[in-house]
Amino acid sequence: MHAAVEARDIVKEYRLGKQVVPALRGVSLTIAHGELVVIAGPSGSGKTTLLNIIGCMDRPTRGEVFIESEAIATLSEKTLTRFRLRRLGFVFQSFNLIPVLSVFQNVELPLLLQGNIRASERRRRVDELLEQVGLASHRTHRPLELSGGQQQRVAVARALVTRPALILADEPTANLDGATGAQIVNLIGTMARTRQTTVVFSTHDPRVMAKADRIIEIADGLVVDKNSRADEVR
Amino acid sequence: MSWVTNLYLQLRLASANLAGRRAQSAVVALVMASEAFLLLVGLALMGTLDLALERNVTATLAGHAQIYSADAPEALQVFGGHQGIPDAGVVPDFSTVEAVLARVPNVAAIVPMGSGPSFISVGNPVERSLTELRQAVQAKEPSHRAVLAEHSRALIAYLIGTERTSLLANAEDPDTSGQELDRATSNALWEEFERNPLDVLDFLDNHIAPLAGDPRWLLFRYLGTDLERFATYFDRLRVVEGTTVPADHRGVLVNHLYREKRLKNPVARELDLLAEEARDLPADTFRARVQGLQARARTLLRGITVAQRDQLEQALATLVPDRTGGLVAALERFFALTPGNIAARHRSFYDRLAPSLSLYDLEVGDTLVLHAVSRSGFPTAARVKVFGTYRFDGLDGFDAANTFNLIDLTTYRTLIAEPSPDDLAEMTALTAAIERSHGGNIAFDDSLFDAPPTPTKAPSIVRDPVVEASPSMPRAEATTAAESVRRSNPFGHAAVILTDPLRLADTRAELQRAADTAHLGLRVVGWRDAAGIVAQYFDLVRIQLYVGLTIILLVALLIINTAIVIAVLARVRELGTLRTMGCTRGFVMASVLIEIGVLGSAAIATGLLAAVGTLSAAHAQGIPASGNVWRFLFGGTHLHPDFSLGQVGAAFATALVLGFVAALYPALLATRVPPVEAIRRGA
Repeated sequence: MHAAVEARDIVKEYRLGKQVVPALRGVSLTIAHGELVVIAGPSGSGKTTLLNIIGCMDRPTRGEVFIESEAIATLSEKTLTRFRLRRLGFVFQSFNLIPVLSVFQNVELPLLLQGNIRASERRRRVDELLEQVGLASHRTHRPLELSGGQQQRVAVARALVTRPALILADEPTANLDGATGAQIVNLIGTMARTRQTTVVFSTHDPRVMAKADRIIEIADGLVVDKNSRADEVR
Repeated sequence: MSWVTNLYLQLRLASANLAGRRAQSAVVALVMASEAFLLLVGLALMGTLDLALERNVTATLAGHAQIYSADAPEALQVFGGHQGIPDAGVVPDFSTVEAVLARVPNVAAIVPMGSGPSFISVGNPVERSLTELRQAVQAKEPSHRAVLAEHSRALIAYLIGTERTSLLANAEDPDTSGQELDRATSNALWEEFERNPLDVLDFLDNHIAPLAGDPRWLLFRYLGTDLERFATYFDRLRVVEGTTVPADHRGVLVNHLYREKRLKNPVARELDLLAEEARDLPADTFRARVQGLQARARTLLRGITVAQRDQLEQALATLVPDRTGGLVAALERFFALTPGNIAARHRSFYDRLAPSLSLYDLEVGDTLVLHAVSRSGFPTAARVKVFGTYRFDGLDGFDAANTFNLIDLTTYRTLIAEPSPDDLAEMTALTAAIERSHGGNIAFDDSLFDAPPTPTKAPSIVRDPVVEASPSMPRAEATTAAESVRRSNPFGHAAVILTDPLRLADTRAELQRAADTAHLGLRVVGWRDAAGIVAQYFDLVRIQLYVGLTIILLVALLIINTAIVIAVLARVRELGTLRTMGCTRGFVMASVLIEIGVLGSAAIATGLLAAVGTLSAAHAQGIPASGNVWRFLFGGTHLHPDFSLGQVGAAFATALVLGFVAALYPALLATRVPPVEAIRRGA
């Protein structure tokens, strides 16, 4: 059985004038299907860079990344865009909902972008997800009319609506209070497990780590521990 | 994603974005609506002005095309150029040209023309009065003679009564002149007139009339043409006073504005100008000009009869009740003008006083002598009757069209004619006779070639030494048929009138081909080329308007561009999110462009609706022309702008394209937003 994500010796360097700044210095890891993994590490450790590369939003300087057995480092930009649309879902720290669209329209948007889904099917899927995240009564609201937790629940619904293989969540609880953050993590965990979706969190929130199957610790661009548990993380 | 779904999604995003950013959308919409409004109004005005110019030029002098000699030393400019009337040469025979060119399809008529400068002498009312009296005496018309004698006597009495001191101060022999002035006003002289009128007239002509001042020589630009055809095909021509020149008659139609400006009593002319300019003049200037008018008011009394004086006194008594100080004082009081009373006084002057005055140096029915120089330098002259005055409808402000006085073709040919062998023989004989009588050589050539010729005594409108020295000169109203037989049929240029003016370019080419094939030696030009400086002037105005419009559009473009750039910058995270979710660069670009397309279409339609409403109202009411330049540009006192559906479409397309151009850079900017911005901005 193939892994959901496999990274082999990834190096990512940024150029600042004449200076080369290494962000990742040879990261290798494997994430299994349906696994809920947290990439943890202090600020500047390279966890967001790693998430960007796994999320096909950035390319490694060296090394190989396989998602669902697809070598993404060699894909064209257009193919990567299509890949993101069909196989990945994203949850952001600041929710990143489209402010001019309603809750329903925000969740429906990825389905519209996929283009081959009938309107009735779109409606069914969106309504089902909004029901599951508890926002069925807010379907016509604009994002700014919702609380932070409600917005993040909409973002979770939007990430799941295309039934992706992998969800990437970048600090999903950073802008939420403790209780709401915990609710969101529970929600993502529950829904991902129900749907057999792999989830990769980038966070240093212990509540998120507590829900993870596994924690991959990164420091100075290197994986220092691939199999930590929440109580073992420094 | 199918294009239908794509478009549906784009439209939904665009409308949601526009609704979500109302203030920004309102600014862009307002700018685009204004842009569309200005575009349509600008296009409609330029189109209407273009048509007005075409009408101004084609319906006055140029016709749709002009033909003239291919060997002309200068290019034809029918309205004249910066250096006067260009020498556009002469074409030998109109009949041949017409026979060939009239057969070209789309040619409705060919109107022969020829223009040039001539001179007339005006300005000595005593001499003019005495000449009329002499004609009445010679014609043995007792009743007319009595009226004219009274007129001359009153005029001389007025001159001597008001100017005696200055006349004697300027005289070579004041004593003799004083006696002559006394004699001119004495009863004895006018009793002698009854017995021996010609002797008395000689005395008055030679001793008194010269005291009334030297005549003025005035430039009198003429346009010789077939007046009947001209009136048929140049429908802006309107006879103001008198009649057109009857067929086969020599005659002149004096331009109404030329007469108003050059031949009108200066007091009346100044009153006209003051009435026109009163509202715009500073109070001091107005007062000074009124004082000048009052000081010169007495000149209005020159040349009027006793009966006219009585009528004038009566009219003034009703207008200016204060009767102290006589007629001159009453006139001065009448001319005590203020900005408040000038309009009413101006009306009263023409309604009540003018019928008793002689306001012009030239009246309909007078006979004029035109002095010109032939192409090879011979002085020529022609005597013509003034049948009337004319103007071009709505073109009072178009000076270029109002500089010409219309004369018949025979008179034109007399003025440009080379002397025939008979003429030359006659001149040689005359020279020899004069030399014999003077006992030696005289500089006869000088008198021939000086222009204008120096008369041996002050010329008047009807009596002229050059005319009198030319036995072959026909009578003013002689029919032209006999002369036409003797002379060839030359013309300077000719207007071609087309049945369908829209086919000008093709017809012009066909005319040129026909002329070349028949070896006529002609050049054919369109009305715009023939109009010369007039078209250049209009082009200048048009360029200014286009530059103004372009600047406005560029500013609009900049505002739209800035507003969209700001909108894109505000949406970087959103665009990054869309890219993360799987939107392509093309999708993002289309999203920005469709947004401007949706907003622009609605805004442009609104702007165009407003423009259509404004133009329709302006068409119904007319935009008034303030000043001569605008009257010329408008082709009349009001401009009634027209617009077509094509112009509406052009304005819509141009405004939309400009909107897209303005949105192109921000759209490119939007496509450069990488997906990773969604995370970076969110952090």
